[in-house]
Amino acid sequence: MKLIMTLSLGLCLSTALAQSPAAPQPSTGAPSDPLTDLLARIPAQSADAQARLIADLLKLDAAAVKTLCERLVEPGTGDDAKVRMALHGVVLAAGRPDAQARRAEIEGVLLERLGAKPPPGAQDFLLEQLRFIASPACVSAVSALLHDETHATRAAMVLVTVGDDSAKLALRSALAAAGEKTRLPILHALGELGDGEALASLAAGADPQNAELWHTLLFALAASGNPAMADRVPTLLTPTSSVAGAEELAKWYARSCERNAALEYVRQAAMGRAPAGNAATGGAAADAEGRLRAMLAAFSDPADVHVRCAALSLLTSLAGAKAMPDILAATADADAEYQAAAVEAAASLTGEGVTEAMTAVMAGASATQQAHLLGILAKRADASALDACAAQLKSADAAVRLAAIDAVARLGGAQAVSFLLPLFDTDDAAQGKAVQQALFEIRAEETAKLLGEALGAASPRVKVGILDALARRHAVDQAERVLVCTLDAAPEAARAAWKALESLAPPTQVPVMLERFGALTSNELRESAGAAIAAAACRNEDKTGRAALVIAALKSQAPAHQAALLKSLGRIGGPAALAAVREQLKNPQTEIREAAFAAICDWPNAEALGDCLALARTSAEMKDHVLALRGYLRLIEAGTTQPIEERLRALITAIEVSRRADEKKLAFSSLAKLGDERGVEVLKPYVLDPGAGAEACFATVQLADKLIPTKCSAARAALTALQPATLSDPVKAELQRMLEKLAKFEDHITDWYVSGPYVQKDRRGQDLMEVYFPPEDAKAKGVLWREPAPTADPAMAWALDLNATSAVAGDMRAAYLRTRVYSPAAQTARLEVGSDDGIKVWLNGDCVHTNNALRGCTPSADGVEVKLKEGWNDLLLKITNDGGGWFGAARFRGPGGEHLEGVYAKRGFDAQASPP
Amino acid sequence: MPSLKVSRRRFLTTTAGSVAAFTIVPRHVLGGPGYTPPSETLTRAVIGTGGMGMAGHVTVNEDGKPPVTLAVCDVDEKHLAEAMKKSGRSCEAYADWRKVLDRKDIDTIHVATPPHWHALIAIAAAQCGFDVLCEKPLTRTIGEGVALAAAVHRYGRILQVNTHFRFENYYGFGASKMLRKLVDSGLLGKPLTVRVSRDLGFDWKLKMWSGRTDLKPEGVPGELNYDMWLGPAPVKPYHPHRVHQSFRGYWDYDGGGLGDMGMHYLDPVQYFLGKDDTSPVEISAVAPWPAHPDAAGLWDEVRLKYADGDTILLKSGEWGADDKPGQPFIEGPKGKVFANYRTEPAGLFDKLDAVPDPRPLVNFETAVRTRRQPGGNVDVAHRSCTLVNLAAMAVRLGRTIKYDPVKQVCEGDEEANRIVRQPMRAPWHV
Repeated sequence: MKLIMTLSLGLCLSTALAQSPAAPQPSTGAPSDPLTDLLARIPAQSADAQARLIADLLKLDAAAVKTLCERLVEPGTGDDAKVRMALHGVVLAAGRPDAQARRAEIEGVLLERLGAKPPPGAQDFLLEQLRFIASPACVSAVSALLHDETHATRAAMVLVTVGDDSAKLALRSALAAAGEKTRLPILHALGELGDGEALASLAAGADPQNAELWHTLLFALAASGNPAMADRVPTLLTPTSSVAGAEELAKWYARSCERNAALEYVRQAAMGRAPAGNAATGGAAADAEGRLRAMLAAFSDPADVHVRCAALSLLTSLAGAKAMPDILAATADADAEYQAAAVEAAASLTGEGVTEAMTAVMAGASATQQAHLLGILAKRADASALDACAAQLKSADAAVRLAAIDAVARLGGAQAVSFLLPLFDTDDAAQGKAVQQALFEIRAEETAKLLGEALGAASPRVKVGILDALARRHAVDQAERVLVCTLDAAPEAARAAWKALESLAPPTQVPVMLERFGALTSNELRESAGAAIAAAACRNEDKTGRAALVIAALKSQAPAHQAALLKSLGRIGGPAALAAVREQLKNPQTEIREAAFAAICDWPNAEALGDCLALARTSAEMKDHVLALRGYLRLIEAGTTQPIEERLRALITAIEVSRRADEKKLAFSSLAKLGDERGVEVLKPYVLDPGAGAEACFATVQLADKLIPTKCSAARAALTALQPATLSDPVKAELQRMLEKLAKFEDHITDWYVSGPYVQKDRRGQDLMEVYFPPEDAKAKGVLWREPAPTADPAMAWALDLNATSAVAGDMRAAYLRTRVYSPAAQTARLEVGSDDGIKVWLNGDCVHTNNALRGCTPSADGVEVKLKEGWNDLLLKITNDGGGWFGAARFRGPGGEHLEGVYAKRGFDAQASPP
Repeated sequence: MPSLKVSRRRFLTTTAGSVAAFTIVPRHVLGGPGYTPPSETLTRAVIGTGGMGMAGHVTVNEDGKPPVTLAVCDVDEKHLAEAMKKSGRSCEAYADWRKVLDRKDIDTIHVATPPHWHALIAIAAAQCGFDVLCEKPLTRTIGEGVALAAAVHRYGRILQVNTHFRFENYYGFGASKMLRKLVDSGLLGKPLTVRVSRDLGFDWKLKMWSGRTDLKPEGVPGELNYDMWLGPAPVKPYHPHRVHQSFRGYWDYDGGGLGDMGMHYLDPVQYFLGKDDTSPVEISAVAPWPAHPDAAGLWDEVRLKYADGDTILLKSGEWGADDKPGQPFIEGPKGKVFANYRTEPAGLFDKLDAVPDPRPLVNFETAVRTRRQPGGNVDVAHRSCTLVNLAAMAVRLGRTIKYDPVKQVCEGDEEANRIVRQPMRAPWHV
């Protein structure tokens, strides 16, 4: 059935539309016809519906489109939005590259309707649509509108879009008869089309005081390379200061426009689009170059540096390699703006001989110029400059060498590797860093391979650089070559190899790495190798087996090696590794025992928490106690997946176990970071402690910071607990900051009922502010009030996130928040509210505040003085949402912004006057 | 480096004899007791003093202070009066931006008008020798962006677009620099798909910035020069919804939610994908079609695919099918990045310590003083704005577009090119 309907739609439409009235149809209440039905489906509400709609729109025949055109109305006199959308769709579909026949057909329909003189608003729309599909076929009809003051601008824009000779001719013809108001758009269009032929006569009598016409005329003449412009150029391209007085100087904008037009004319002339220049001087191009060079000399005033920049830029684009002396001179200019412009202009140079010209002047240039030239060559990315740039790698000037490194890397790709590697052999740290950065930035795939191959013959210092580069590039395919370097006689190369393996070695290399580890004689190398072995083991996807090879190798190693491997096990982690390390705590050899102790204290995760605590409790020596306790505290902080109660308990234990104030301080700090309100009571007894009191006070303030805004009462209690303490100035300052932060957020009401959403078709949230909905009447029946979901974002805990309640959430709507506020006495209060977006507030049935804003929610964005009666007060908020976030917030404060004792909110409607 | 900047002040000092003629030059610019030497303080004019123009006062110098605002300009007298209240004693008010460009004591122009004016004013400012801070989106069409970049280069100016997420944290996904390092490191492989979708926290604000299709013409308020507000845009009957903030909902002036959030969301993506010098080659959209010819509206998704296969997927979540939750933000053949820094395989961000930082990005203030190109310079800003404009084109045209990132046109697609380049209303042209 559906298929039959679709197939027959085109035919039905033609028939039905032939009978449909030409007059505009209201979108509702009209007799149903296929076209009206089609319009009713706009906009589609789903992908499927849209696919059907598109198919049907594309099937509309010329008669149907004509009828659509006839249904366009003057804005404000009817609703033709869907007609406009449908027509726009038809036009866009006709403009597709594969729809030439359809395009001509639809263009014809639009022109026909345009010729019937529909209302001005409809004409405007038709011209706007025509711009998408206009062809030379429309020129005659559209140019007729060039004399219509209302439509001349639109018509001219359509002709600009057509852009061919017929459009230009039509515009020229219209210009001759143009009136005062239609001249400007026609002239403007001719300028856009670069056709100034018809304008020359106008130029002679034009008045520069009529700035818009004058500038448009100049623009048109310049863009077309019209000779009428030629006589003006010398004046316009002379510095203002030498031709005019102060009055003229004030017209900076006007002069700039004129100068830009003159420059454009010079460009057009040089490109042969204006009459040829003086043959004696070499023609138009040479004239232009001469003119521009004269400008470089003439515009010497610093205020005109941008003009010099423009002249140089233009000269560079016109003269190409011939502009090299000018560029070279500019790179040595005293004005940094001009220097920078020269580099930019030169970098954009294209054409034959440019690179050669640049490299040719390199040798004779100053160091500053050489650095600039290298920068330019790097930007131009012409690989033929590689050798010239590489030659500068040996420059005595450090800045030139660095610029050469960058240029060689950019131009040479993988080929740059051989140029750059020798530069690692230096004491200049900046040079080494530059080479490293350059090697990283070479994207060529074979780079890593070339680096790996170069390892064999490299000096130790170069080898270090290569190994570092391989690690940075994550060149895992070079791990075998790197492994070879662990046997290098030069310790720095061997150390760099182990370090690189930390990034590169696969788990399959662990056995051979362990074998070589056993032969290492220096502590430093054992450290590096141990780290590499741990990293390679950790790449084993079988987590339980990661430590096995290291544990197995442990016993066969000498004590110093065992100690290093225990540290590796600490890095690997896991129950097996922990058990193996724990066992070594009883080892008779001090070196091994201490290594095991350190490994446990540095354990990467909370599985060693109990071990650390036990060691802290039982260690006789203070240094061991401190080491273990610090490890314990570190693991508590790192154990973010542990339940907060466990972490709190562990911290209390740490404070109890601490033998020194320093460790207590660390525990206080961890307690503050934990951000649990129960921490306030833990810290309280230490506030007056002579050893750790200052730290306890500071931690208390930090904890309060964490508790605001979610737990403002607890934060208040924390800060109050500091009253008996003597505080240092920094802590006092922090306390003051925290009190101010608290004042911003505390007392916000969080106990609400919510009702909504309230929406009206096609109305934005902002439009709903003054629309009545039932919750505004306290006696209204059947209003559904629900408990809202809590605000998820802790930073917004002081406000209610209406989007958190799924039944209410969304855009373009309103909702109501309701609660009751208890006041122990009748009193004047300040009601402070925030909202995203708009808000209206009723207190005890009276509207006390409205702000129909589009804004984000901030605390106390609005404030209003209100009277609270004794006992319970009804508070109702209306919050609108146009889109995005949706929040409402309110609180009552004293007239001076202070906390109001005894005032609190409770949403229960049956709440009785029984303060807590 | 030799002495830097500041042409206008040097002009004033070197032509002291003629300075008296400029009564508009504030006293402090010429120096005097208690004033910071002008050579150390950048001065600016703000053109367009609505939302962003005045918020622009938070744009600060390196010492944390806002630049000295010497001129404010608006076509709405009420806005202008408000702006003057917030500005210092030395500030002058203008109704026509062309007069602002006659000032010789100003270093930078902050273009904070609606987007249909951006290119025109910024190009004129460059021609007059000013450096420019321009609000986003940089330009309303790709053609305007090409012209703007050419003018800024020709006159040797500095231009920075006022979006900063490439300099700092990229919404919930950490520093843009780290994402760049992750992409550069190759740990994710290639090609990459980046999702910028509502379920990942990117609110495209499409409903918020939708235009209305039922506007009944109203009288222009006395305080507003509507003809100058429209400027290069076609004349359409006045309605308050067309101007002041809600202008975003109309194609003639902006691009709806794409225009508002597009450069914020996409400029950092372009940066960390290393695509600052190119543009996508194939763009497609799923959106209600036909789009309204005047009012920007909703869309479901837009795909912007580069020549190397990297793809940026925009998903609005405001029309069409809901997105599957838990999708990766960046997805490559070797790894993925999810919300909350989670990666597959795990811990990819921990492997970046050895990867060198990308070259540091220069901020606008430093760029003006040193003449080094800023991080959001005209070329990269034009490319990231091209993403926004291509996405808008695909939504409007309702079909796949093929784009040539070198020629910056849609090859063989005249209709699309008529959106790439649009004529302006006389007398305005770029």
